[in-house]
Amino acid sequence: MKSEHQIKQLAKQIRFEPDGTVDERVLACAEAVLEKSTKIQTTVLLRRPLIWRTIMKSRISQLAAAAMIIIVVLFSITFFDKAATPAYALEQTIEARHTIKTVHLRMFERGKSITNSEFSDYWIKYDDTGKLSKLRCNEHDNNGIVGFTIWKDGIKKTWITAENVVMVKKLNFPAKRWEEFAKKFDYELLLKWIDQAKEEIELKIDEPAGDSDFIYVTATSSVHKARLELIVDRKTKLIKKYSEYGLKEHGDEPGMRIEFLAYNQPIDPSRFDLRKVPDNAKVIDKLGDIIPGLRVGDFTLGMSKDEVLSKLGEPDSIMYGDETYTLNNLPRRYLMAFDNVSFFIYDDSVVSIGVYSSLYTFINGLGVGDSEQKIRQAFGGNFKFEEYEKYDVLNYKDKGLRFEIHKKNRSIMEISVRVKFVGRGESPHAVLYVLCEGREIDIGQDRPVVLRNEGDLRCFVGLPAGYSGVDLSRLDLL
Amino acid sequence: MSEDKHLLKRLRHGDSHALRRLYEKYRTDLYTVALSLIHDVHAAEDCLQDVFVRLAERAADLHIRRNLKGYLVSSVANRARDQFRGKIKPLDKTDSFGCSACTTDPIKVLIDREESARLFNMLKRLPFTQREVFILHVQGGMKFKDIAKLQSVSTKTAQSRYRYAIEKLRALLDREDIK
Repeated sequence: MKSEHQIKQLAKQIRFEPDGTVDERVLACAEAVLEKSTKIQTTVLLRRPLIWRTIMKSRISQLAAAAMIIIVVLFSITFFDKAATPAYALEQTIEARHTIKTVHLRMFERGKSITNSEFSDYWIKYDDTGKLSKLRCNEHDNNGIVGFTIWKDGIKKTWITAENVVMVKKLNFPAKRWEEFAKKFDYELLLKWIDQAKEEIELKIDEPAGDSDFIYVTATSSVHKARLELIVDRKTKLIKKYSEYGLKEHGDEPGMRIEFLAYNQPIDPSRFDLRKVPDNAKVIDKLGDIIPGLRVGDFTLGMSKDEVLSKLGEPDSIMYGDETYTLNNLPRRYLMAFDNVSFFIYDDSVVSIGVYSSLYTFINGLGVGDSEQKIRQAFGGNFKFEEYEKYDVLNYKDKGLRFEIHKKNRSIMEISVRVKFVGRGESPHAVLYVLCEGREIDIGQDRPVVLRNEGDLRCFVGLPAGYSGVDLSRLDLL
Repeated sequence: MSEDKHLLKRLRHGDSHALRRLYEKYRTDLYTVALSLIHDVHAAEDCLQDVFVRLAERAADLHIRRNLKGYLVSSVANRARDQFRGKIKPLDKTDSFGCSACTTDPIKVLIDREESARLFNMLKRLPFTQREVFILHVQGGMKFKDIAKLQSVSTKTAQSRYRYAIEKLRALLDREDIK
């Protein structure tokens, strides 16, 4: 007769592996959904303050996407459907596109009526090579203008009127998000994309006889279940209106629409500045710089738990080791994790800040997602290499930095900012806690600690201002 | 920070590498649980797909306080239950390990012990609720308390179902041994 243990062992030996095609299918579906949901989830970062949503919503990205689609369609027309439009010289449209120096357009988001008061006005200036050089966006809703964004010289500034906050953010740092943004305007890349998609686009061009002012272009992709409609000015060959639709079973679903209100009209240079910002507006310098040994954005080592909470609200999780905690039940030391950052708190003081988002970067632009090689180049070779089962670590103690490196792709997964390690003779050290054979010893304020093995001592060392008030001179090391 | 927590964080930011890593980490466990519950390869594959698609879909507002594996196993169980109640065809009567699900598809079956294969086959004979408790507890590593919550019953009921499952499996295995 089999015992319960034997039956359990037999059951544990049952193992099935999905085959490779299943893996591919599952991952392809899940990744597609992830991509879509990440785009849609502009609230990803903060379910909390509006201000963060505004950052992530990124009007500029939306515009870039729209512009990309337009250019794709134009190129498609030019290169793949010349024969269909003998009377309409599409190349002229392409040529006209290159002559655009400025454009004023109005964008209506998906599902918004053309008469809706929720729209965004854009003023765009291109340089002589056709690259985007300056941009302004006024965001309207039922209450009037609710946000202003300008972008020039690689800096984006957004003034959120309701919050009276000005967000300043670099857009040319090498985070993937912004690389993608820049690529949208890379014609070579666009041509590659078009080449891949040429079989998928069905084009119809309707050039009404008589003295109609417009030419109507429709591009339909059954693969992407989408239709794009362009109204082209017959005289200038420039696009007047752009509309996109999702092809659904129950009918076409209106998507984003853009009206091109004016081309090549002079734009007052002051339009690319933020004017009338109140003096008392709070200015936030992007999401934040990582300053080694000191701070991450607004968060500084030594802050209290309440100071952190006042800026970020309720944390996603609080843990220490395998245990989880709540704000009402906090141990002496714990890790408090939020969307982009985590805080290791000891005796109500932040002793380490972890960053796992590329929204915080070093001043030189490096951040999470960059390669190990770039970090080594930027911070030098004076680090301790630590190897763990799941990741490797570059520990720059003298800089107060620790980088977790992905085992396989060698990219930075997490950056920790800690107190800089100060060498002997420079200042006294304070001991935060001691681990003795894996067991924590509460050293208290005055109690001497006796350690018999060298390996027993693993100190968490703070600055003279210290976190525990006990310095090494009080320890008896036998 | 545990790897799962870290991966979830990255997933929230749309990191597909994190998604892949989570898939690689749990694909076998989840697929095994799904197949053991419903004994249908295609349905189990659908379960696996549903769970990861849902994970990707909800990544942005997913907050798992306890453990990710438990959450994923529960998700598989929920879908498996739906499959079982809904469209899944009745299980065949054969007692051989060569159930239709396992021989006609090119899955790699990693059961190298004949007894485990027999046990797998016998799982089909358990009522679904008992089978579910047994599999989630033994293969999914879930606690009775969590399984009870999943089945909307008391912890004691879940434990009883587990006990019944063990007794029945024991009887079936012994009967086979005698033959």
